[in-house]
Amino acid sequence: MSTAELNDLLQSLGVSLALALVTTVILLLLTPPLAWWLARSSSRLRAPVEALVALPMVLPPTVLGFYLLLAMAGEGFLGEAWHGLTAKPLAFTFSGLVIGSVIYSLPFVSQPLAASFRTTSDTLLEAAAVLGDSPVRRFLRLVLPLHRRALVAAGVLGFAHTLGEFGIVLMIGGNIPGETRVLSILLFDQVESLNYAAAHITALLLLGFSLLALTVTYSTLSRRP
Amino acid sequence: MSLLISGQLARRSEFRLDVDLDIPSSGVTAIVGSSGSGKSTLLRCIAGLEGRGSMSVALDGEIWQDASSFVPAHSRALSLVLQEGALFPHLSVHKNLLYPRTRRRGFCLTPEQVVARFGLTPLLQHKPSELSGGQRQRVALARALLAPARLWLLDEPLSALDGPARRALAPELALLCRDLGLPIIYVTHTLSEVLQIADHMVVLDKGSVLSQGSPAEVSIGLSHALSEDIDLGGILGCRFHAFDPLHNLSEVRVGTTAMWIRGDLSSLGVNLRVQIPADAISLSLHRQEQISVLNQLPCTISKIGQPDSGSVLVNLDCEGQTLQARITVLSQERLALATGQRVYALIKTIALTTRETRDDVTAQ
Repeated sequence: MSTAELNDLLQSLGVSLALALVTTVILLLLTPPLAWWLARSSSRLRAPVEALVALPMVLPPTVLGFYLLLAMAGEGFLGEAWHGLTAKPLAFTFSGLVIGSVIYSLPFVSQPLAASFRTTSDTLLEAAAVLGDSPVRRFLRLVLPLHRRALVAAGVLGFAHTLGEFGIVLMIGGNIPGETRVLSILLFDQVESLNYAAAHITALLLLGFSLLALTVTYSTLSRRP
Repeated sequence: MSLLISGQLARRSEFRLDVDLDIPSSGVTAIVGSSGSGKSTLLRCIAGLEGRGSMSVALDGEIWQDASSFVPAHSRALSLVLQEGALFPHLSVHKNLLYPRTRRRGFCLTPEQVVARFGLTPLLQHKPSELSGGQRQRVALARALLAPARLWLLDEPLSALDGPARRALAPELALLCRDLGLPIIYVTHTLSEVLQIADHMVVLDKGSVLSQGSPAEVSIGLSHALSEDIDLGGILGCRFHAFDPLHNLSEVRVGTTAMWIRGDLSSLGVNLRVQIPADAISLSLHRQEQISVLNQLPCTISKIGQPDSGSVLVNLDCEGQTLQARITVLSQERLALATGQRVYALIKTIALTTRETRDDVTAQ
């Protein structure tokens, strides 16, 4: 492997890890209240919202990427709002990628969380209430600690899924080295240019990450609470 | 000073609760009823966990809920101990005890006080899953005392425990209720749990109040109306006299008459209440000398009820207290029993100990 190839690999690895990390942190802040609502609400809105959240699991990433690209363009509503806030464009930037990744990985974090939240015993919640905890304090002091394993597992899944993202990055991030070129895009480039030796290393790296993430997830979830 | 609860609670067009209660907000009020009688639902309404919009609850003039307002459970100055204890499984005993943190005003103890009172020091680092049922319930009681409250609610605090754990915790709980100085509402389907401590009793059946008053008042006249599992019989107030360890019998006095009850009752205090089921009493016109029955109480027949499928309830006045005996109509005819007649109530000591529900009163 040449120095240039190694630099490309490390640069893309850096972008991938940064993207996955930022996305996971944002998701772990946003998702728990949403997952709690999905798990516990009897509202009529629950089913449509749940469907909307799950959409990225079934939709081709290119479809999602296409709509996001339109929204993030200079005259799109996201692009315009972002430009108003930061005076910078959103499409083909790292920030744009983060927004896309958050939407794309949302179901992978919210679904295991909601599944775990559904098992919360009403008796424990009632006990916390009569001990003086408001609903918000119950959520922060009882629900989140009770489901800490599910939180870890959901975070790892979100992280791994963001690392493996391809179609949506291609649509809204393009292929800018050091900014938006993630590992999966690098692999695509390497195969396109018939550089199979380098492609092997990139592919192996992604494979290793995914396997590790899933192992961590399953061993965390299967341990006794 | 009282706790007012009124309203109707329906689910699927079926009334689960239809009450209008005025409970004194001092001392121990026992709510007794069989399963499905609505007693737990009533407690949950008081706690603010159920009955929003349909039940009215007010403590000492402070409205907790009515048709238009609702104070959420966490803002009500009350403490509730749930059936299974509801300890937080991911926290150690120590952290469970430190959980209550609220700006609510009311009475509460410090962690040091409850740890000492319930002997929890060796358990502090354990997880709830490592505790026995009795230990878990002790921790739950201790934890409930750490949240400021003006009212204490106990929902079948002993129901999840087996015989030995029950017998160990029951007197401790009774002592706690007497010491606390907070109004307590104690829900149970086992009368014996509250017999020694209840100042006021409410009997629920199918969601409505069947009877309320002092335990002695309530117990008389209910024998027909209650379901089998809470057959009250009569309740006799008596004084502890002595314990005979050789025969494992406690001698108590009803007025001047001596009576024997199995087990050591000395720990229950001087004034005792003994529950005597109507079926455990036989009547005799004379004192019997050659008979195994130890307890023979002289009484006067104060009332004879209506015959019901061959049996009849006879009210007996015993030193100013009322007992009830259920005898056959045939016996009544043979002895020619009539109101005002002097008789002896024969009560087998064993009859006071054989039924599980009376276990903890007589065999502690």
